[in-house]
Amino acid sequence: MDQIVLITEAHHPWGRALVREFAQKGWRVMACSPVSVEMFQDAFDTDRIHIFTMDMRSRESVQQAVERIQEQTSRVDLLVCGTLSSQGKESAGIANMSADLVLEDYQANALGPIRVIEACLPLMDHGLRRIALLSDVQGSLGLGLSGAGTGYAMSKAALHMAYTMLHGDLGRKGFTFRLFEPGPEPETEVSAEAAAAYFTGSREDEERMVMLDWRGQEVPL
Amino acid sequence: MSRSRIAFVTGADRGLGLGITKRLLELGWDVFAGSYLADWPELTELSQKEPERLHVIPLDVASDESVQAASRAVEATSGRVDVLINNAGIATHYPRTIHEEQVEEELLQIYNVNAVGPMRMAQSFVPLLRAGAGKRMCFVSSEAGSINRSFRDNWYGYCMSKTALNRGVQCLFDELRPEGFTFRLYHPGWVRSYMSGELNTDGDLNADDAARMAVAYFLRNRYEDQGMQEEDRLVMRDWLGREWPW
Ligand SMILES: NC(=O)c1ccc[n+]([C@@H]2O[C@H](COP(=O)([O-])OP(=O)(O)OC[C@H]3O[C@@H](n4cnc5c(N)ncnc54)[C@H](OP(=O)(O)O)[C@@H]3O)[C@@H](O)[C@H]2O)c1
Repeated sequence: MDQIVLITEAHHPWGRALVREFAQKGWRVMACSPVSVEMFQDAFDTDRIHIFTMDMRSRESVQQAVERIQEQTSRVDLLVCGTLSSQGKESAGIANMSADLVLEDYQANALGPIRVIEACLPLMDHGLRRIALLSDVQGSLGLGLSGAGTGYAMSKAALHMAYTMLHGDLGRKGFTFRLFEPGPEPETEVSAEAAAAYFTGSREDEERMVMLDWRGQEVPL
Repeated sequence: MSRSRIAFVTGADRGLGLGITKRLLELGWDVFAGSYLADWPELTELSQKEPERLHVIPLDVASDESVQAASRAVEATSGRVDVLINNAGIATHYPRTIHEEQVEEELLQIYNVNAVGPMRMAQSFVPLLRAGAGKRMCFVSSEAGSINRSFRDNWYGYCMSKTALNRGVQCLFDELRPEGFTFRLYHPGWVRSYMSGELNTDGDLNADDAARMAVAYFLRNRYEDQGMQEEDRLVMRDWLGREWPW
């Protein structure tokens, strides 16, 4: 039986590389992206990949996409969701902060994955039951790095709280998690390959809440 | 004539914020009190008793315009603030798990008030704090924002908002500590307040006792000696003096 992965942000270079990795591994891929399907249909030339329009910022869009995904499959083994870096839009420093951008970051980076998970849970009862969330070391309170846009760092910290809550609740129901930082753009291919291996393999400490970067280093939450 | 000490308190109509305002007045401070609830009488009554020292200012921390108007009002009255106390916060009316439908509008509103609100305040009030003596920013956060002690299955919006606030305060600390700003990040305990919309009668502390402990911590200096400044470390502490992990 084919294994099935749902991947958000498939229009992003990293997301696209991950979609290809999974197709090569023989998985069926539900590739989702806010960009309209026609824009990048040609990027994937295999029938293992199904493309859907999904904007994580909108509950309606997420729900509609999941309804269409249900026409293709009644099961999702692995969910990969989360935004890929929006850094660059805002600069560091409180004087430069725009409250509207801070709210936008939260909409996309923290609420987006929650919407997708909420909508996909009914499809995940059987199968691998694994959720991978994409994050960024800038969200780490343990590291407390400087230099990021404030709203971006705050939104990823909020995502990490959601992760700990999901881990506690769904962990008891047999779910496992991968919190992952994809790393810098030039490393896209290496990083996506490492991600695919990490998302599909097992880990000896599934009970622990762990965030790894693309090099396999543990990042404190 | 000795120079007065000036604080700004957000969410001062009731609960902890009102308690903090009363306590600061008792201690001889001048207070600008942000008022969100126009029809709640206690703050107005207090300002009639203390017309010289208590200035009630309309304030919705979820609005850029309102926060900017408040800072302009303070600028025009005193030109400075010594201590800023970010207390305003809201809780959830829909404590849902991931197995239930989240209430989107509420998730966004909680974030806008609890996480973005204090950052808006910090942004608008930095110049007034620079002009003041304390350069102190206090943030009422919550144990609910501690990732390392997280235990809840519901309350996503509230918990995420407080974690994000803590991360935002880290960014502020990073930027402003070198200029001499000092920070207080605080969990006030379980307070008998109005957070759920009506008076919670189950809490561990009444609002005035909670405020007394909060103000003591906010105003006290932390240890400093040659080569060692406790202020250089950002920590979240609670009403019992315990330190909370991130
Ligand atoms: N109570 C607890 O056990 C507890 C525990 C941990 C942390 N805290 C934190 O303590 C702080 C104070 O809460 P509290 O317990 O004193 O609750 P509270 O009684 O509800 O007081 C909060 C105050 O903030 C006001 N407010 C709400 N939205 C606002 C906005 N957009 N702009 C400005 N002010 C606004 C409220 O007005 P309305 O009454 O009109 O909403 C109220 O006057 C909050 O940050 C809360 O998260 C409380």
